[in-house]
Amino acid sequence: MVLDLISQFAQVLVFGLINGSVIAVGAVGLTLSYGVTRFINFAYGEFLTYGAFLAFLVATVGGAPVYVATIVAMAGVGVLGVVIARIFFKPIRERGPLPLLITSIGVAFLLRNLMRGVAGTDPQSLPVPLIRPISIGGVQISPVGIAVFVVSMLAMGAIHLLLTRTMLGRKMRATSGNRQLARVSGIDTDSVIRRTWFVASAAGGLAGVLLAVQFPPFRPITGWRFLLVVFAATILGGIGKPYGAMAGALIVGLAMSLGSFYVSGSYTLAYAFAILVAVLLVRPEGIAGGEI
Amino acid sequence: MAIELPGMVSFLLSMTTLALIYALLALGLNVHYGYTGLLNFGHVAFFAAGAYTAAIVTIPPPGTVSGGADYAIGLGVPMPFGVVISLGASALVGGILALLIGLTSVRLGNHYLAIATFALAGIFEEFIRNEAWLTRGVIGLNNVPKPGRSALGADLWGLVYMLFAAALVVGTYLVIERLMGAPFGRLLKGIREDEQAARMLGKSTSQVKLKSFAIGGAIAGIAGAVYAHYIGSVVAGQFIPLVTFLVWVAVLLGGLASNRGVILGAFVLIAFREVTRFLPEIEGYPTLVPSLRFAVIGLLLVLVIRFKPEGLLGNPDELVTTGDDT
Amino acid sequence: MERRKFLVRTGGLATVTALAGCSGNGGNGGNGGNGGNGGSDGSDGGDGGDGGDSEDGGSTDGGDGEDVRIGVLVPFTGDFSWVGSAVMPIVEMMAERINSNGGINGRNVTMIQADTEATVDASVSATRNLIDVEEVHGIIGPTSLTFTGVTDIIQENQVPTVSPTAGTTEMDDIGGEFIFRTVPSDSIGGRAIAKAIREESINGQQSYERMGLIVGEAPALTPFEEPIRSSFEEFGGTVTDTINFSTGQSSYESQMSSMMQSDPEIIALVASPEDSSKFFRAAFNAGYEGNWFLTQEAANQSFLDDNEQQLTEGVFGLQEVADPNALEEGRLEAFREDVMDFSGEEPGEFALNTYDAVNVMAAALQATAVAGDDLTRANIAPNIREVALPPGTQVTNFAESSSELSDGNEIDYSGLVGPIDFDENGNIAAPFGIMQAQSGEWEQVSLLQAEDI
Repeated sequence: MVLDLISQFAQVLVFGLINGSVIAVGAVGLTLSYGVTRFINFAYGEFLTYGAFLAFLVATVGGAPVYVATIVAMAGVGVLGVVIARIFFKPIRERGPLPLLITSIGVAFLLRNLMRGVAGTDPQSLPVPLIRPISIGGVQISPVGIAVFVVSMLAMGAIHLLLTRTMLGRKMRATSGNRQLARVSGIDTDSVIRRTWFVASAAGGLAGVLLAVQFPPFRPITGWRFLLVVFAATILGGIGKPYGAMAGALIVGLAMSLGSFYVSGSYTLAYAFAILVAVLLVRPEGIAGGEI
Repeated sequence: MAIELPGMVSFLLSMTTLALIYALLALGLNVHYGYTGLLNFGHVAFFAAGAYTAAIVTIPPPGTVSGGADYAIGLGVPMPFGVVISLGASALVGGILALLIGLTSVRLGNHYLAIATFALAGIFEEFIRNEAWLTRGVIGLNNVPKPGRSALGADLWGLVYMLFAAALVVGTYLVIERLMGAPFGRLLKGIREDEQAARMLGKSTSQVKLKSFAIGGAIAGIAGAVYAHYIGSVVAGQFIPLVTFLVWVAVLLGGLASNRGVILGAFVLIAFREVTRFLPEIEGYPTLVPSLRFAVIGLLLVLVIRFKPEGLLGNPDELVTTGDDT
Repeated sequence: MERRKFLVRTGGLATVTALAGCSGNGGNGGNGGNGGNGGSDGSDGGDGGDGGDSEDGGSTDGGDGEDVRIGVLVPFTGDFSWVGSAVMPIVEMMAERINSNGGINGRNVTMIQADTEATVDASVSATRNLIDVEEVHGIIGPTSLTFTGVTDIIQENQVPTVSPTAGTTEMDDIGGEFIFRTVPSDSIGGRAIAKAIREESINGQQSYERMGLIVGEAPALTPFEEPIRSSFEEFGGTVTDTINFSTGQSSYESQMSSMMQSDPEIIALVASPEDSSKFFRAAFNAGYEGNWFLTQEAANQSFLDDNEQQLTEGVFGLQEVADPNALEEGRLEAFREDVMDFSGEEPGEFALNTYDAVNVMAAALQATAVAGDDLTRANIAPNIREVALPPGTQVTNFAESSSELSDGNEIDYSGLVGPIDFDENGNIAAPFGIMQAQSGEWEQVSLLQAEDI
């Protein structure tokens, strides 16, 4: 009996971790872009959606294997992000974070409805094989879930390496720390910003693909819905702090899983939101101490 | 006493009434954002609170609805003077909800306020859908009385109700103008411009922001009551983030801190929605044009911010003061 | 200077709005048979037809020169745009048929799309537009999502309305005079599910005793909960647990785990196809071994196509099947072929219901016209009951209706969905098929007639 309870708890934890790992990819991307651009991009969710749809296109129409489709999706959305930033955000970037934020909402609306108009609203799935879960001590773990988790961790690792070991990473950290100072010390902040957009958007695209793989099927509104959860993770972790975002994501994932199971299944997003609000009340700078 | 109105007139009356409801919502949001600089992305929650309050206050007591589960609370305050009570209750509930939501985040900077209000509205929406004992969830409260309808006949009622809504809009407009002309209004704008300075002058900025929150929320609550008694049905599916978004477009389009502007903005928005509703469809792709309508609204928002950030009727000078960094 | 700018701008906006409003009105002849468009030029079979100017939709040759307009009041945008996508092609096809069979006493029929956006305020506007501006003679729609806001307007304007999609139990008592449905109420559907689960003789597998109930929170889904639960208990079964979930989430692992704790033998799942997929997957990952029973929402072919066979094998589903007579007489097959010819795709959701709805509407219109009455809404509405109920010559499509009516006979329309005999509240009884997914296809294991339930 007690063993049952324990394995149940472990099961809920496993779901939460996998869920959290998908959120993490998105949260890191969002927080990276915030770091250098200093506004909260409400259109970020659409990068997830576009990533999933692009992968779908490549995998079903193009007939490519899923991992190839993923790479294409990441690159494609990365480019899309740079283009969107150039067209919509760059021209007004000196206006301050509020006009940018509001513009990003308009852009989100635009992108989402374009996708609806073009692709329709039918749910779609990526051609991922169905594999029986493995049972470990009464806890069922699906191989697909493991794959998603592994890819997410790899992505986290890659971002970590990027930030700490590469020139670009150092420049990104400098620019997000203090843009004026960075520019004064000779960094081409425009180029850094552009490349950060690429990385952040590509991360968003990857998050979208992971979302589509782990929680099929998906629709044009899927990214927007998931965005709220990503926000919760990002802010929990401290806005602008990539490592905080990773931690925040896992916590949010676990909280949603635990809440849905032990408290009430009718509410789910509410748990993520509740955490968000609690963080804002108690420690708005989040786990890793982002700016308020 | 029933009179018949030509079809087109009925349609315009209906459209105008809806525009007036959105105008009230816009006036409320204008108090939040236009005057105080508060990024409230949860406005639909106050609208919902007002609508459900109006419904609960005026629907017949439980046990009288057939089909499906019943609701637990119905106060059955009789029409037509029940409208006054209904409006008052909705304003109160809207204001209180706004106050509560505001308490969680007024001390924080604007980004956070944006996300917090959005998140709290999301929780409220889930609450409305789940707590069916109060709201009948997605099925909704569908027997909200329409004051005076049986006495006046449908067409005349449409006209009278529209005038009623218009009177409320005008009344609210006058009250806000008065309030904002007074020191309180200057205080709000002062906070919008430079909160630190205002604080240094000894004003409790949090308190003032909360007041602003409550006022805007109360107005949104009134809009909810007007809606409930017009449509006669309050359904969870109505109160989605899209409504908040549309109100924002109306406010930004119309102009910061310009009450006439945001009313105009609401009318332009609703006019656009109705006019584009009947664009020719493309055979074989029935959802293409309807989706594009919404895409255009998004584009409109982007263009307004970029090229005419002060809106149609706003004062460009007001603008300089809302670009702060927090 | 400021004031002048303001006036110019407002004036400009107002003008644009007014102009756009004007052109928005006459112009929806893009659908359904106004000559010029999409192939069918109605030159077969009689008057009306070619010469119709598709732009302002107002002038055709023959008849009174004015079109008969029917509004299609369903969502075309938002989460439920698939309803509009499913219903519209059938409606367009029917309009073509009607017009090529002489139209309504020589007048062409035009279908006018009105997007309800699945929200109440938008559907109020859409309904008002149809009634006041477009002055439609009848409405096909609305859906369970938004009917609450519009039934008042429809009734006070006496608009004959036939809904092919709204199964919600909330509509059980409100129709009969102007509002009718060609889709059986969920109260019957829910009961049918309960019965089928409980009796081995019906489902062919097992007399299940322990049933779990999972219901999504959406206007088209919640009405099932009460009928399923109370009927199942009435038939002697036990509901092990009931879970209501918020629709549209990314995953439902927690809900599934919760449900499995109560150890059901079978779960009645009332959810959209998308959410049903997610539940199946969550169940798979959690090692659920029991069975499922789906409602019409998900029990369709595309659901089976979209999910791996492993997940769906042996699952039960409720389907609104065609009337056995329609099947026998080959009408169903003919319909299927017609739809394939017209749109290139299989008939989708609500196809049969839409076919019957339009036919009943058209027959009522024709009956009114032939009787020499003005084609006003108040005159048309009583004929909906007339043409659908006995006594009368049995007819099954518009061509037959039209010719019988012209000969001065009464008719009794019998449709693909069922006999379409509206009760006093405008509801119909229709047979349900108890289906089981076998090797990726739905196979019918039983037929439940209305009387059996």
